[in-house]
Amino acid sequence: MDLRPSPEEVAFRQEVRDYIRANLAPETHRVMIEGRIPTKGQVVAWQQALNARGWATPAWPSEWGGPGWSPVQRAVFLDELHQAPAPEPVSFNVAMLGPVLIRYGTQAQKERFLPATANLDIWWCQGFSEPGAGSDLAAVRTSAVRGHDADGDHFIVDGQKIWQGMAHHADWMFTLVRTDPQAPKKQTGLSFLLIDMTLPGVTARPIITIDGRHEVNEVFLDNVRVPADCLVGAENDGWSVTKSLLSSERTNIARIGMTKHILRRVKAMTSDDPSLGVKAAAIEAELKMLEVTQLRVLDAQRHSDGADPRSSVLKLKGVELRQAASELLVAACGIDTLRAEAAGPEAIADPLGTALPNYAILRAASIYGGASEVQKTIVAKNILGL
Amino acid sequence: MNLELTDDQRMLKDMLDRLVADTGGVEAHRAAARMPRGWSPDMWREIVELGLPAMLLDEALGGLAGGGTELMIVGEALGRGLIAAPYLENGVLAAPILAAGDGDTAARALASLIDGSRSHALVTEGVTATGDRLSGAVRNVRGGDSADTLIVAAGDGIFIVPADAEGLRREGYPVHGGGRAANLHFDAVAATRILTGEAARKAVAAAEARRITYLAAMALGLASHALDTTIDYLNTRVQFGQPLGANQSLQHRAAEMYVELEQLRSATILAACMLDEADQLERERVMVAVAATVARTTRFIAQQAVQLHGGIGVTDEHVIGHCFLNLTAITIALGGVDANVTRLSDLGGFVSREPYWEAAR
Repeated sequence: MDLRPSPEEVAFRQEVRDYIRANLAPETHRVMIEGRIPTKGQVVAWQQALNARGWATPAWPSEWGGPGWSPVQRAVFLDELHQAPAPEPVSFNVAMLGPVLIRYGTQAQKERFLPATANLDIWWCQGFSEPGAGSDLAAVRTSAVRGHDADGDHFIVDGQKIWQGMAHHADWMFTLVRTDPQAPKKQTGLSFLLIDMTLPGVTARPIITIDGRHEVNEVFLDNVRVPADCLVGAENDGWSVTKSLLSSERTNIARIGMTKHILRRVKAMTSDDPSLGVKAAAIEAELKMLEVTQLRVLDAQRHSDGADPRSSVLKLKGVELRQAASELLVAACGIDTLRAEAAGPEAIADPLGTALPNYAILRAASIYGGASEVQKTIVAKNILGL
Repeated sequence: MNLELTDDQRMLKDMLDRLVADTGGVEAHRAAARMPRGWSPDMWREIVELGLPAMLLDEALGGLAGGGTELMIVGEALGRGLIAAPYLENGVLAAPILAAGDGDTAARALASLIDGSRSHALVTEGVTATGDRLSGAVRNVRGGDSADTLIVAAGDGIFIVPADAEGLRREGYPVHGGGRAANLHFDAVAATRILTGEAARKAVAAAEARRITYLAAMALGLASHALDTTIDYLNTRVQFGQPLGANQSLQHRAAEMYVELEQLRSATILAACMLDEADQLERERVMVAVAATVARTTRFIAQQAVQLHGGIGVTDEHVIGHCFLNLTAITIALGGVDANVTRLSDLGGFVSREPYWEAAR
């Protein structure tokens, strides 16, 4: 056995790093280092810089502009972004909707949406969760009723969606809606619909999270007329489409590079208190093993491209360590991190004022993308046979 | 990256799986603990006949030229089978040191190790050398009371001492989890030097890396056996009219055990791959991180395996209690979580303090 990267892999990592260094705007880099949220303009500029190199859509087939990377290369690319740190290509566009359109979309939908999605000319948000449908996603109630008028086939959509990340930046939303309320199983009456956020009846309202920031929203859909050519996949087959979306691109779910960046900030502050260094080392040891676990999952993908239930292990442990690192950074900052505004020069420990908000909002990482409890049930049933 | 086993490695694994299936298990483990040496001479004979004591040696020395992967395969299998045999002391620790040693004494000792006629134990602390005379006291030497030959690192050298040498006193005792150990007292014992200086220091450091790798692999075998046994129990034990495994809280506990088992497997693979790493600092960092991981993961897995078995889990009769004791013994032998994590911190850890592009470690 050999865990060392091949010379080609080492060269690839260097190539990625060099491109990021040469093209990431210094101000965007500073925002990322400090753990702040980049502006829409910064994210768009960065994704377009990646797209110019053909790197905005790592997992797309080359026919639609993907770079043709192996799973290992994709992981190296994201790791370099996370460690730099630099923004990822917007995941709603690149990791979620793009692969779904490539698999289920019509030729017209692909041509209409994919190039703009890659270049972030269209910013997508996800419209899955509802107030009554969280982990139990198939319980969605937002209705879409098929109709026909002088302007053609359409759906009339009514309902409420919640937790739309960056919906205030978004031009379009992909949604799961109920098209057959009489279906015998709740999973079988659903459809996957694309909704233009500028249509009459679409209203996004901010939800301010405990970090004091505006990242997520609720979106109200009131008698929205959606053209029928915005249906992806077959009518009432939206559950299959959604499952495909949720299972794609989960290999870098451990977000190891992000945790390393947080640990770097901790270790830069540990000279006054060696016990912090020991606590960091405890996380580093676990993170080192998680890197190997991720390599093992990536290695298995060379032989099989089916869903690997061990991605649940990556999610569970990856989140646990990222949350632990963020908590340690708060401890390292001490009382200065209570200062809620961007701190002045007199604040020594946490000059950026971001440690506590980031710790607080990272609690959500074990809730979104399949809550930790859901992941454990997947492991118990799909791996352990319980 | 390549995580595939070679054909030879696959054959080795199959062979050991058969050996363990035929001769391993809790009954044999309990019987061995009552034997004079703490292990079964018959079992040791089988391991010797498979050529395993020479596994890590070059083919010119009659070995199989094995490395970290082979060490992992053997440790995992013997751990899984709760095999009581002095493989750590002989095949893992002593054989490569003797092979590197100079002179006829080392060569004869190695031959007696390979043919299984004499057992060996390694001492790496507590003894000083004055010329070729050794003095000092050392506690808790694994296999120290049943060894026929001692290999002692003292001063700037490594020495060979026959166990019946004048001036050497041994107090042997059984240890929890199986096997035996001894406290040794050296009083100007005549010894034969086989290594000196940098070569001796490197041989001891390499032995420590092999010890951690092998114990990690044994822990992996024991822990995976403990989890498999626990899953079987959850699926078959009926309480309140349903299998225990129908309870979500127990499903989630088992899932948490699996997550830690995967981390333990990764640690073992990492140790196996880094065993021959030329960068000594990086190898030590990895090895202390592996030791910390073994200690942390096996504590949770062993404790929960007992808990989920209920009362039967704390009986001498059931295998789970023996898995628990063996895993605990390995953790103690590796120094536990805190000492290893502190050492990792002292060595600078894996993540740099500097921004990524300036450090890129």
